Amino acid sequence: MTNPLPLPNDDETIHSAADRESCYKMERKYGWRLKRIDEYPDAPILKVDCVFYGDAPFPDYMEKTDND
Amino acid sequence: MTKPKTHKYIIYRAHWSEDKGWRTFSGSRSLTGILQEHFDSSGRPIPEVGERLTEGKKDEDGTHYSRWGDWVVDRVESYLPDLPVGQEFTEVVICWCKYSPVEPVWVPQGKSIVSVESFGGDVEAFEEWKATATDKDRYRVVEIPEGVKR
Repeated sequence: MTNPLPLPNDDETIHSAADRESCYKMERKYGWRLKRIDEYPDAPILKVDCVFYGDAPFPDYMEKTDND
Repeated sequence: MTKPKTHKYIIYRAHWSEDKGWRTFSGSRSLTGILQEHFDSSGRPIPEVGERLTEGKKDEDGTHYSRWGDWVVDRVESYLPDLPVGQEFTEVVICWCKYSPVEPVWVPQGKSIVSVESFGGDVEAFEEWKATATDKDRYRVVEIPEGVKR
């Protein structure tokens, strides 16, 4: 089998979270692509990892929305 | 006028003919060929034929790794609603995948980020976690810039 080129080390950005809903909130709020949610039920507080596509940094500034 | 935001639901699934990739739904005997589902607010183009899925894992010290997975997209179907108003998704995309295994090569992706958004924006919960958590060294704690609305 021929291997593809190596993955970059910023292929994914992972944010740990207390619940699944926080993953969806981040995806919608910051315009990211949520690839999967990994569950760690034995973790004390941060029971899920939200895995986002590529480099997903927080912006330096966000404009106010119509809901403000 | 602001640009409408897109919200895509992207389903990666095995072809009917594939032997691998099928599993049962939790707690039932019902089978599904869904491999992954992505939720995309980025506005990026939809997946293309040839895209290879990735897989991930995490070590005990909190370091994440990813690798190229064993599935490749070989057909893409896009479904658009008649009226994209008041609905969760502006587009549904189904990516049919074929099994094409590769040698696993795990690439480190660093530790996961913890911020106030890890707690749904609850500042009090975030501050309490920072003050009391005994495993903070497994994460990268990030303070969101002041200019970002919560």
